[in-house]
Amino acid sequence: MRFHRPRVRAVLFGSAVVTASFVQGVAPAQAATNLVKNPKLETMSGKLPKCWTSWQYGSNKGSAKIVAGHGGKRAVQITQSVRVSGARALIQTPGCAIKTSAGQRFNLSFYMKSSTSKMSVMFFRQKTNGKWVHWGDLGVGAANTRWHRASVTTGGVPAGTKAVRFGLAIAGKGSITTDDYSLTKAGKVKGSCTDVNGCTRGKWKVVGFGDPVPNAAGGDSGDIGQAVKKGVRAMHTVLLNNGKVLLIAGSGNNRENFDAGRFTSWLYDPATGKHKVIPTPIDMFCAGHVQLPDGRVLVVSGTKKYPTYVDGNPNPIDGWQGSEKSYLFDPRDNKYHRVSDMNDGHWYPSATIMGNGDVYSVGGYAGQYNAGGWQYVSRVAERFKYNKKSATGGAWLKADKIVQPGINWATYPSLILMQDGRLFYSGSSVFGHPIGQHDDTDVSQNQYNTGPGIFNDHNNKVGTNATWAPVGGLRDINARDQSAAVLLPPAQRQKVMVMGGMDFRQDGNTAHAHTDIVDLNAKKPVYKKGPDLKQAKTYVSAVLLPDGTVFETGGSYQARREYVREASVFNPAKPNAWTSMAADPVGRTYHNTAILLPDGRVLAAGSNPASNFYETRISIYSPTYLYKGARPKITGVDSKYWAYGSTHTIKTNRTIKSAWLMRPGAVTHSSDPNQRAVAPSSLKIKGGTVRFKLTNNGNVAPPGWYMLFATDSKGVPSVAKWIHVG
Amino acid sequence: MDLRRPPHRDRQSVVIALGGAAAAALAVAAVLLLGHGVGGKEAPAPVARSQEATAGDTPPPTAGPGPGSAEPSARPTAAPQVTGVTGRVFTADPRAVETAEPIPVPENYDGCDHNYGAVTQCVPWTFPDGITAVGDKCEWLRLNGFGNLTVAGEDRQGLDANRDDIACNS
Repeated sequence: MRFHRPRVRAVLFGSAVVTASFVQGVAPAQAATNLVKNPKLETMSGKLPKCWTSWQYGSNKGSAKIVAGHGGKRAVQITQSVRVSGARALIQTPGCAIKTSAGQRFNLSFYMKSSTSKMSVMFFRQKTNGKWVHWGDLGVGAANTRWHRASVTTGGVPAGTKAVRFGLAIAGKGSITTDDYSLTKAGKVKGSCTDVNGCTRGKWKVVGFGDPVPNAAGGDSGDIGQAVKKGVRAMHTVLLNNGKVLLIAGSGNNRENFDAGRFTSWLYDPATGKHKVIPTPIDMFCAGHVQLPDGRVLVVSGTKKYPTYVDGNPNPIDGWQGSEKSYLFDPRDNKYHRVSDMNDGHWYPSATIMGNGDVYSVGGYAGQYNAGGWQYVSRVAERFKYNKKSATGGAWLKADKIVQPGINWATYPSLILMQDGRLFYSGSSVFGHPIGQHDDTDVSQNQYNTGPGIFNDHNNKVGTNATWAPVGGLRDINARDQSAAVLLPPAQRQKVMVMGGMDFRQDGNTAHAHTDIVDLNAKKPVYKKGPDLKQAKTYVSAVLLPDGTVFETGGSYQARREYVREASVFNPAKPNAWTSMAADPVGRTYHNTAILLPDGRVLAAGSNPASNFYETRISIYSPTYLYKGARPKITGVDSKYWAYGSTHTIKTNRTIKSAWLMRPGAVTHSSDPNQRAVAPSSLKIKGGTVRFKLTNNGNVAPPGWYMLFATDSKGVPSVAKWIHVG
Repeated sequence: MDLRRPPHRDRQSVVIALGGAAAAALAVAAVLLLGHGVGGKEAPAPVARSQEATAGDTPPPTAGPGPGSAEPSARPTAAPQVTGVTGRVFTADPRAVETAEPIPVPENYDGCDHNYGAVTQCVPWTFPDGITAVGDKCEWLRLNGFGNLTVAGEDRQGLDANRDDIACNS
């Protein structure tokens, strides 16, 4: 079929990265006028239904055809057989566009089936000068080859708009079929709202540093391999107990920097936007990191060696090596301080703080090659023994003082501390799930760990057996590379969600949208199906928010390519769906991170697409709760040092509803196993006086500095106060 | 003890398969597998010990933690069972790392074909979305920001027709 290409095509994508201004789909609550003409696609005009046209941009091949409908005779199927770039869709013709005015929001629903998750609803708007431009995109979940209903809700139409139109676009190989459209005017936003787009989807602010930005496809031929940038190649993001953010680049995945010994960190102050360059003693690229109980940041390993090329060998590289070195970053003097070495190198290690302040670290590539000259995963378990009286905060234990079960943990295994002191491997890791095999049949190499499970070394009781209990039920068990795993709020409930991911070793690999949740308080913990993400993605960044929800952002469909510009919120109290939020205007794939800030905003940094371009812009997201009226304020706390089991008085300027202790983020590669939101064991509220009882269990709230938020009945949090736990 | 000392390994073999044995851990694991996994009988759950003193923190209410429901109930916590749902519980020798084989990392561990470009670049191991023609592959590379792309190793993707070790320039 020959595609009709509307004249608007060129201008639609002149602004290809326009920020989406939409919110989650909610089906129209009552019968309202359907503004879509020929919504059931039954009236034909030529080869396609009247008021509809096929449309495409970019380099791809495909077709459009009439197939059996959902309820009637006809639906339209768009197929894409080869896709180098762009997308194609069935969209409304300009003559059948929906007339509108500024501020109007719309509910759109339709029936669909698809063989790919690479799809989104694209909205366009006609400016008052008559030109059509891309307005934004909304996700509709995962591939599903059965008819199902999809629904989305837009944000407010921007000023200067006189009409809108839309279409479901396919951006991958496969097909999508749609039918039975309904678009109605959305009602006014309920409750307090100071800004209709802000209170329904939040808003982003992007901070640039004068570096080039990627082209629409994700790379930038003018910037490939550029070693020194004006911004920082941030791939490790750690919140300090003074509110500043440590952004660690090391060599920043740039060999020229490594060879020159040019290693970088930034201390970034999100309150002022100012930064300070921190001398960085080794290449901390691909280290692990965690805040110790005293607030200093333990940096675990880093890059000891980039791969080398071997002449005449069909395998061009030998691989990476991890460093045995370890440092503390001290927020009091803003310097790195050397601590003792680990027993092995660990390039991509875990770093989990335990209930007594120790740090357990496993996984990552070893500090040397094997005898064949190839990189391999270290099986050496490491434990940093915390000592608050030590100038270095303690020291790494010698190997024979640690239970060494010899497990291959692969890279950045997400090991979450359980409330009974054991470690839960969530099934989320980075490159190759633990064991490196796709089945669970080969135990000849001690490769029994193919997925989630509970590890117990009995508090490092050397001489006794460690145990491993598999936890089943996780879907896509081999496709959780660069997924995100979080302990859902509150930490006491012991529920872990894994979201998204991909199998990087699978041919034709693509991300998926699946989430699964396990209740570790159950007698037999088993993952159960959670709601699909709004769009399939890997390199997921997940951030706990102080209203008890989880915010996810960033990511891409494939390995370091195909940005997914989508963000959404999950509420564990209403666990059936994600709610769409405003998308970060900056596409963020590999090496993206995001953390919660003490003022309730979210900072997102980093992106390192396939060409090895590096994104230095920082994005700061203001969640919906910052557009719902005045914030409560913590006017006083009886002490900032809280012992386990103690009760403390918090003064607020008005009545609040809940309070949270949020552990500051320390994230890289979608992995922050220490992130947690701790609820009070009991909370008594009388006017502006709040009595907060802290857990008596260090495994629920490992010792250290936490952000105390007081949150009102609308979910609006205060600015945090820093509290030391333990 | 030197836990990092790798045994001899052939370079090629590490890419495709894993050989040898992890003696101590294997023995324990195999026994447990045969005893509990194949037979379909669950292994008795080892005693779950906490690493720290655990009083069992009070879990939050079922209504969830969001605004309006911050205060947890006083329901006691049941310690999770160690037994996995697959019916297998493995016990790992605390010294197993001493005899464990290094597990090599596959070539395509990150989805990238490192035969091309700098080691930090990521030419797809498998091109996406039905892209099989060389021309489409080269267009994809161009669109994704790759400039002159060197062929550092084997020309797996057939991108170097003129064999000058530069991909997509013929």
